[in-house]
Amino acid sequence: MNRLLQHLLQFLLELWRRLLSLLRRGRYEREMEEEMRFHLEMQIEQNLASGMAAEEAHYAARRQFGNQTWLKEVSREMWSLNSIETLIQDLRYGARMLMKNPGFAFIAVLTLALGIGANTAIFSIVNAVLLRPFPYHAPERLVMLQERVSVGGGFSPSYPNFVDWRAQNKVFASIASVRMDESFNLTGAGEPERLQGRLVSAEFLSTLGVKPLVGRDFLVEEDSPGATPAVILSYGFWRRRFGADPNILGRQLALNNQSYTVVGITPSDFQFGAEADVTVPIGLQAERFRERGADPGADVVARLKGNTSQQQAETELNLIAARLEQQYPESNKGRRVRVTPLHESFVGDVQQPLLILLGAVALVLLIACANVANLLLVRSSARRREMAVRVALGADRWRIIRQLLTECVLLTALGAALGILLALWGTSFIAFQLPDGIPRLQEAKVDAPVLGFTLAVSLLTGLLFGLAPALQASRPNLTEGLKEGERGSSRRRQRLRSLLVIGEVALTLTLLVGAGLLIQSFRRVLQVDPGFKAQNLLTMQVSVNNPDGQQVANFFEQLQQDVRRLPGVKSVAVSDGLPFGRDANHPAFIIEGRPIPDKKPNGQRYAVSPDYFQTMGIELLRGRVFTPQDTRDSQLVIVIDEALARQYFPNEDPIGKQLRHGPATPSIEIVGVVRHVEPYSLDRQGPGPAQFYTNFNQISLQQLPDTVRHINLLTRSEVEPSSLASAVRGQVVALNKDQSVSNVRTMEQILAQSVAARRFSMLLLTVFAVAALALASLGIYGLMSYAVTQRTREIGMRMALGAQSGDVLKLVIGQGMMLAFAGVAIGLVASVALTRTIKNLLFGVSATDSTTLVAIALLLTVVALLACWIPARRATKVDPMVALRTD
Amino acid sequence: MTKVDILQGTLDMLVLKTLSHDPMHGFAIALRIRQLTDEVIQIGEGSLYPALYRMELKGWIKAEWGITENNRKAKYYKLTRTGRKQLEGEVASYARLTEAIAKILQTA
Repeated sequence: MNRLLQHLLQFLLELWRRLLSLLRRGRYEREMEEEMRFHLEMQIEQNLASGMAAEEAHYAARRQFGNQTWLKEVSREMWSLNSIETLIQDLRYGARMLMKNPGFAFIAVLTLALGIGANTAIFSIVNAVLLRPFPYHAPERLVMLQERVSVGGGFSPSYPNFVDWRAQNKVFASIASVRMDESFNLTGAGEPERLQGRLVSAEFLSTLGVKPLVGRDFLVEEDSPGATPAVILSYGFWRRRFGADPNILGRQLALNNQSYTVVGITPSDFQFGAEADVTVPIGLQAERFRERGADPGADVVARLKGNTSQQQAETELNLIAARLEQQYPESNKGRRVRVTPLHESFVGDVQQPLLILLGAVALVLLIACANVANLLLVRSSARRREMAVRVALGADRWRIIRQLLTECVLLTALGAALGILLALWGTSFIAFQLPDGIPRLQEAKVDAPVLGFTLAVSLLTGLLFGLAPALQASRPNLTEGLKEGERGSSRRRQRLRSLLVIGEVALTLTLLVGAGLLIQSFRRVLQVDPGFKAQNLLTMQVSVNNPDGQQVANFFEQLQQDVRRLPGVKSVAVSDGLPFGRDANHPAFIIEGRPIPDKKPNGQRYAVSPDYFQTMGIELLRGRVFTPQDTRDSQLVIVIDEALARQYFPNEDPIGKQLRHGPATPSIEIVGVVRHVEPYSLDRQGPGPAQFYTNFNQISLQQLPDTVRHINLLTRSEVEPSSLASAVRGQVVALNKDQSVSNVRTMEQILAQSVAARRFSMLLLTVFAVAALALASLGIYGLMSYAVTQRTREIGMRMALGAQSGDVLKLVIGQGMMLAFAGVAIGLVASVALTRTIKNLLFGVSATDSTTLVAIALLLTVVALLACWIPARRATKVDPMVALRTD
Repeated sequence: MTKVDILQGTLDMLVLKTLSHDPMHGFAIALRIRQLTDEVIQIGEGSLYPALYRMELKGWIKAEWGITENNRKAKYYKLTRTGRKQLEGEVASYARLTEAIAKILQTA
């Protein structure tokens, strides 16, 4: 090892000295001349001393010294960086060759630029999202904890369970809970503002190993109900709102009408899940999370102690969970814990689509390589005579390979340079197109690691498309190559080119099938009935900070009336949650007159105003919806959805049945059954959660101020809904100028957002597949046109002997289609194998969907036919006389 | 090919050995080798200088301009530490080689 290092060092030093000598070339040459002169003079002196005559001494010395020019030449070559000089020579020659054939160079460079650029762009995103370590201390020791029931999927643990885990575990160095997507109203100095926030337990930052930029993490005593409220600000918010005021610590902030003391600022690169302007101790609101069966609670992140494994942690946590199950059978029945590495739980969802895109874009590059290789092969055929001459003049094989590879390097370098430019633009474009919620996407940029990747990819590309043609060209048949006008193409070369085209077609088919399946899935998703009418529906979030329930109730009553009077408005409603929103409650309930089961029935609950169903366009199936007669003083009523009816009242009429949330709470009567609404996304697999609606107008005046922290105002319009946005917003402000309105979106935007991820991968894969198709057809076209030129004489002969143009057409197209069919056949087999990897991205279509396979195969065949048709037409135009006369 | 290599290696060794005591200029090196071998080995300038430049690049010797006894500017070559190591190695392997050849010559 040591020796090896020494050798390496020696070699590097030598390289360095050579480089120096190359740079100081002039000086070295002068010195050498001086040295030679000195030597000669010494020789002459010696000759004189030994008694020679002056002139003879001179000549003898010169004779002895030999050919000075040759000596200089040899010495010069010795120091000059021989290889670099030849490289420069090769480069110069290569550049000249490319300039001589600008069409070829342009197409090759453009093809490579697209391939390399797309790869770089996708990789920069993969790098930012998947590969870069999280900015926490030793992120590999961090895990996320989820609860699960039996074998079901995980969900965020309830807060009381987290508190018990924290107290009882011995496997974590530290553990913290974090609830994201909270919002706060900032009032007081300056404009009122709605802030994104998160609730965390004490030691949240220290668990992640993040040091606040200024200030400190929350103390344990700050993380409890009666504590003095403290807040940690995000770097961005601190700069934006407070101009990075250095004296921010200790300042008071009014959040939701409560005064918080600033105790710290997070570092500029800090992030954890959703963006948050402010971070607040969760313990302050412990009351809100006291229910053990609540779902969702808060996420839990923990740092493994010492060398505890993830497995050990899970085992211990499950022991604790089993104890809690005995202690609290009602809420914790069957609840177990799942421990996942932080990285996996953050990027698990996006990992597969991103890797698939990376794979797809790599295939495109491969096709691009095949195309350029094909172009080079055509050119090397044209340059056969040049190569033969070079070999005949004594160039060795390696020299010729090097020359050709240098040309490839030149092409690749140009392609890569252009590709990086494309990637710079493409990365931000893709990052912009990508849906929200992909972690760390904003950090995607073309940086050093990405450029390293590009370099590696380019090198590989250059070798890939350059080596085969170079190896072939370096083995020219001298006699054949030098013979004037020899046109018989070497079979080998033709075979290699055919194989390349077959490969291109096969890869293209695979990509097209993948894209086709995603397009099909996307269409099916869009066809899913969400259960409501999304057209002409405007939504916005209104948040009210008012502890007086009666005032709040009046405000919303007035607001709905005012908005309803706006021209173009059909109906107005409020609700505390929206479909495809993230914050939905799942309270449990019991059904009057039935025994209480182990697992209480539950459903997704929305509190809505009476006009909600009409405004959303949710169809009433049985009974009635809320009316103005349902008030705080009358019987509590709810409307359930068909899923809940089916699940809990399979063979009876649910109308008139009574429910309660707990033994001591008032009974609620079911008055209606409505259509089920897709709660989270259109592409849900399996049945969604049952839903029920409580009446917003029956929420008790004590509870109302808490409920209205996030209320959605829905407006169904007769006109384009976004055109009403400012008018509706104006009504809100007119009623109360301190009101903050946010998230103004049309329901169609919300729907589009929910399928944005799917749309994105579909679009990108389609773009790649179409690019592949274009490249492959170019490849077929190129091969066939070349074949036609090669066979001009043969075709002329055939036509002279009586072949009709139809026969010629058949001949050429037959040759091309043979390749296309071979490619399609191989591609079909490959796609059946490869589409399995995108199985769980598909919706309503099987990975081996025969319609898609057949359609794509047909499409590719038609395109191939077209690509053959043009050269074939040209072949029929061959004039036999001309063809026979040319050489 | 191999013949040239051996010769070149030997030349390197002789030059290095010659330089092992004092720095010398090219002419002096050639002269010294000729004198020491009783004119048996005569190194042409055509091979001496390329060899010197090559060894300089390899870092075995270092060149410096100096003044001769008769007050003339000349390029002096000096053995470096790497060069000394290289010389030792070559001398050792050369000794092994001649020993081996001698054995064959004795028995045959």
